[in-house]
Parts: sequence; structure tokens; C-alpha cells
Amino acid sequence: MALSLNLGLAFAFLILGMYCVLTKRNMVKTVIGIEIMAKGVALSFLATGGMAAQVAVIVAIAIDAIIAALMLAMIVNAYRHSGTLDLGAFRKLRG
Amino acid sequence: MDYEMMVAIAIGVPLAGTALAPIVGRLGRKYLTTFAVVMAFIGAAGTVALLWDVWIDNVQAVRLSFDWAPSIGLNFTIYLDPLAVMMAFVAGCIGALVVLYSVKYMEGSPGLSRYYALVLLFIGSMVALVFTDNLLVLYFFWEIIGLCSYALIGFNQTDQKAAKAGIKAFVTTRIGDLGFLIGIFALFAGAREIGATIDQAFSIQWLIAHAGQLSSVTLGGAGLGFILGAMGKSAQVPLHVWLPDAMEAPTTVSALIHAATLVNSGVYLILRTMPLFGHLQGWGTIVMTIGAVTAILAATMAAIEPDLKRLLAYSTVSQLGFMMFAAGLIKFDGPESVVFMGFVAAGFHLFSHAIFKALLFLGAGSVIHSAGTRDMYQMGGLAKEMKLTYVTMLIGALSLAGLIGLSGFWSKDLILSAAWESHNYFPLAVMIVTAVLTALYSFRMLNLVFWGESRRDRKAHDAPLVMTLPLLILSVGAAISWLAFGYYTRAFHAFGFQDVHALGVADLISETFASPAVAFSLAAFFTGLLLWYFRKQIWSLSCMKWPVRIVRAGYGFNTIYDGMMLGLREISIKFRKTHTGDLNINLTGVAVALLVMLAALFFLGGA
Repeated sequence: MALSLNLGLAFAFLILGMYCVLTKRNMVKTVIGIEIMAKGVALSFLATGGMAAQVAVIVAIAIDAIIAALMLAMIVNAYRHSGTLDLGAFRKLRG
Repeated sequence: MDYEMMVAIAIGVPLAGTALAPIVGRLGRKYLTTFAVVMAFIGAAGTVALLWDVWIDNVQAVRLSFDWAPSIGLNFTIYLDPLAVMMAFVAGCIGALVVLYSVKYMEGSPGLSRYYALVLLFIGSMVALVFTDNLLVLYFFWEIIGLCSYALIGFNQTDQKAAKAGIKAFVTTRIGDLGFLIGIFALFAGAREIGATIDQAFSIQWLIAHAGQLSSVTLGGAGLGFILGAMGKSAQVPLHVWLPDAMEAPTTVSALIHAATLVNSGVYLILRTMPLFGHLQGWGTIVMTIGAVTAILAATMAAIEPDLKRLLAYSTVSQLGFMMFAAGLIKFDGPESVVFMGFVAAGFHLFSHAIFKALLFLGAGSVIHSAGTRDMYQMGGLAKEMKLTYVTMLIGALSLAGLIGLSGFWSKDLILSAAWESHNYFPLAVMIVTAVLTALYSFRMLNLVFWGESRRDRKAHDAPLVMTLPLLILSVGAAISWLAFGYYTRAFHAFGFQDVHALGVADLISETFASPAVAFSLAAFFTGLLLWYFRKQIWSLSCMKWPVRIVRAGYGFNTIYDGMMLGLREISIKFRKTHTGDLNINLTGVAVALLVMLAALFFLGGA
């Protein structure tokens, strides 16, 4: 029971994060969405993996923090460059 | 000294040099060059010590294992046999001589620490490639030497042509590498099915020992993949187009990588896996055909090439064709009686070719350095002004042409007599024509560069001692390396290589002159000389017009490749609309693909 509850919660996190990433046009919100997805993954590890997974999850959280910092740094630079947080302003790869 | 130590020196010292070169480079150019030379020579000493043990003292197969990823049973296994130590000797020693030559040749060019780091990385990786028994490790170093080749071709970063040539080399060899990789995993899957551990499934020696149990589909598919890999690295038609363009690299790099070592790795792969695939009907024929076609096409292109380095590059392609041809000479009387006719010849030609071709390239480096151009029609008369370079290059060119007594003659004659004895008469005829053309373009090169009147606007002079010393050492090697034949065959025989018999140098001489093939070798040399002598008359023949035009266009290989790339570009432009540049839409694509994969796993995955 606890397992399926945990997994269900992890899946909910994943869907929530994905919805956020797919629909929001604000870059900061995209980063938040990615982080929510990552937390969903971590939770699913914890739900299924036992003791060994806890170590992996702690490392994964640390790496997530680094990734978030990197993405935020990129956002700051992008904002300085274009003066907006809207993703629609970065469509230079449009064919 | 134990073997682990010697192997560690031969591989590790050049690689350590790579890591330290940028740091030492900070101290100054003098320190950097001294450091690189010392590192290269220590590595070379390691390869010489190993060659001595295996070739002369005939120690038995040395197997070592270094942990790589022990948790999944994958190890860096070392297997030393005469073939491996010969390749390592060539890479280590010619590498050291090239580094010594570079001291003066590369003096003052920008990015020197990058240059030495890459050259040392190449030497160490090449030695590791030939020492390892693990196919995955072999592939790893196979890619590293490809990377070094790419980076060194494009060494001059301000030269657009060099950058393009580097990319071309990388992409073309990539086609072969893909085949090789598929071959490795086909063998792996096949070996796992018959109950091998992961370590065993990647081990060449294990696969050879269990070749009989592997299914013929596995072996056939892997055999074709390995041939493709060898074609890419050893520049066989139609994947030969990168090698002439690679001549944009510094001449030292051409001598080491594109003449003496990297391009031999394909032939090495074929020789190494011959006991594995040689029993398959048709495998040898494919190798032989590719070699013969490559040899003759490249020789015709060398015969009309005006650029000194490109001529040598085509000559290298042609000689590699000789080796592949010899490797493919497998007499097949049924699955139980397979005779590898050309194994000895292919390996020995590889050895002698590496020496005299490195010599020719380094000599060409001196010539180009001094004459200030690569166009042979703007040289001429250099024999008087560059005496030492002339004498050494004369030995190299005559060895290439097959003058009796020089090492090139013996190894080429071994190939021709192997073809004669295995009754492959039509391919033999093709190879004899190639040998004629080889003599022809060798004399043409000597004539245009050294003989006749000067067509230059500046005086040339001999190179300084650090550049002529490697030339002298290599020219001695080009003249007498065939005397090592006795050690060569005895070592292979002692290792139980199939169809290698211990022969002394005296046997080599008596057998060479007892075989009718020697008549072909001698006739080819003198016919080439005659054709060269009457070149003006032949050139003016009207029937020469069309063949020359076709050869000059390089048989259209580059045109075909350009056309393919243009076609690909057209198709890509059609798909360009799908690139919206909108992050949300792109991510939706990722999400949909994930869902599809999940669904596929759910419905098809079973467990």
C-alpha cells in the first residue's frame, strides 16, 4: 500500500513538472518544472530502492542543485541579453 | 625487469607526456621540446625491450590484466605476441624519431604544446591499441588515434583547408569505425550465447579459440564489419579519399600517422583477426579484392600527381593495398584445410613499408622546408644542394620501387610469390602492373625533385643535424630491415601462428630466387624504369588522353561523395520546417517520444 502510494505521488510529481515545462513560457517556471520532475524521480527511487537508493538520491539531489544553479545562471545571462524572461524571444533556431 | 613494467613504460610514459606537455610548455619552448623528446625516447626504449624479448629471446605469450571496470568483469587485458610488439616497435621508434625531427621542423610554430601533447597521445594510444586483447579497449584506442589524426591534420588553425581536411578524415573513417563497432558487438552477442563471460566475449584470443562454436552468421557479419573498419583506417577504396587530403597536416604528422602507424592499424586488425575469420569462405577473397583494387587505382593516381606529399600519400594507399591483398591470400580447400598464404608477407611488408615511407615523408619535409613549395614542378636539381637528404631519400625511393637488395624488394617479392603459389593469377597480374607503376612514380618523384635543372627561385640547403639524424637512421633501416626476417618468422613460428615456418635470412634469399615470382619483381622494377625513361613518348600518345583525364579526376570518388552530401542537404532543408525553435514544442516532442517508448515497453517488453 505504502509503495503504490509513494509511486503514485512520484508519478504525480512527474506529470506536474512535465505539465509545467510544456506549457509555461516563463524561463524561471520552466526551471521549477524541471526540478519538480527531478524530485518525482528521486521519490520513485526511494519508494523502490531501499537503503542503497538513499545514497543515490542524496547524490542526485546535490547534482540537481548544481543543475538548477547552472540553469538560473543561464537565465540571468539570457535576461541581460534580451531583457525578457519569455522563451518565445529565443527562437533563433526556427527553420 | 618484468613485463608489467615494460608495458607500463611503453604505454604510460607517452600518455603521461601528453598530460604534462601543456604544463611544461608554460616553462618555455626549450623545456617543452626536450621534455617531449625524452618522453618519446623512454617509450621507444620500452617497445625495443619488448621486441627484444619476444622476437629474439622468444618468450612465450605474455598475458597481463589491469582492472578497468572489475564490477562488470571488464579488464584492460594485454596480450603480447610478435605481431603486437612489431607494431609497437614501429609506433614507438618511428614516433621517437619523428619527435626528434620535430624539434627543428616545428620550431616557432604556434600551439607547440598542443602539437607535442597530441603526438605523444598518439604514440601511447597506438602502442596500447596493439597490445590489448580486449576488443572494447582496442576500439577505445582506435577512436583516440582517429581523434589525434583529426586534431593534427587541422593543427594549423588559421588554415581553412586543413580544418576541412581534418573533418573529412574524421567523417570518412567514422563510416569504417561504425562497421567495426557493429562487428565487435555481433561477436560479443554471439560469444555470450555460447556462455562466455563479459571479459571473454571481448577477448580476441578467446574468440579465436572458440571460433568453431560461433554461428557462421555472427562470424560473417562481424567479419564484414571488421573489413569495413580496416578499410576506413587503412584508406582502402572507396574510403581512401581522406588520406591525400590529410597531407595538409605538418609533414612530421604525415610521416608518423599517415604513413607509418595509424594507417597500418587497419591491416593490423585484419592480420590479428585472421585466425578468427579466415576460415570463412569468401572473407579472404573480399580482403584480397579490396587490396588489389586499391593498390592499382592509387598507383595510377600517384603516377600523375604534381604535389610531392600527395604523391607519397597515394603511394601509401597503394602499398596498404599490397598489404591487404597479401592478407587476403587464403587458400581454401575446405573448412579443415585453410592456408594463410600471405600472412608473413603482409606483416613483413607492413614493417618495411613503415620504415621507408616514414623516411620518404621526413625527407619530403626537409625538401619542402627548404624549397618552400610542395609542387614538384617548382623543384628540380636539389641533389646537388641537399646531398644528405638526397642520398637518404634515394634509398627510400629505391626501396619503395623494389630495387633488389633493399627491404622493399624482399617484402614485395614475398607478396607476389604468395600470390603465385596460391594460384591467384589474375590478381597477381594486377599487382605486377601496380609494382610497375610503383617503380614508375618513384623515379618520377626522384627526377622532378632531385635531378635535372633547378626550377626554383631560391637556393636550398641541407637540414640541420636533428633533422638529418632521423633520416640517416631510417635510411639504414630501409636498406637492411629485411635482415630481421629470420627473427620475424622464428618468433611467429614459436608462437604457433598458423602457416608460419621459421626461415632464416639465407632461406629467404634462396627461396626468393627459387620462385618464379622473383622474375616478376625484377621485371616490374625495370619495366617501371623503362616506362619512366620513355615518359615523353608515352605522354604524347593520343590514347593516353582519356585515361589520364579519368585518373586526374581521382576516378570521381570525391564528386560522388559531394553529390551525396548535396542530396542530403536538400532533404535536410525540407525537414527544416520542423525546427520551430520553440522550447515548449521541442519538449512536447521529447515527452511524446518518451510516452511512445513507455507504451512499447509496456506492450512488447514482457518482463
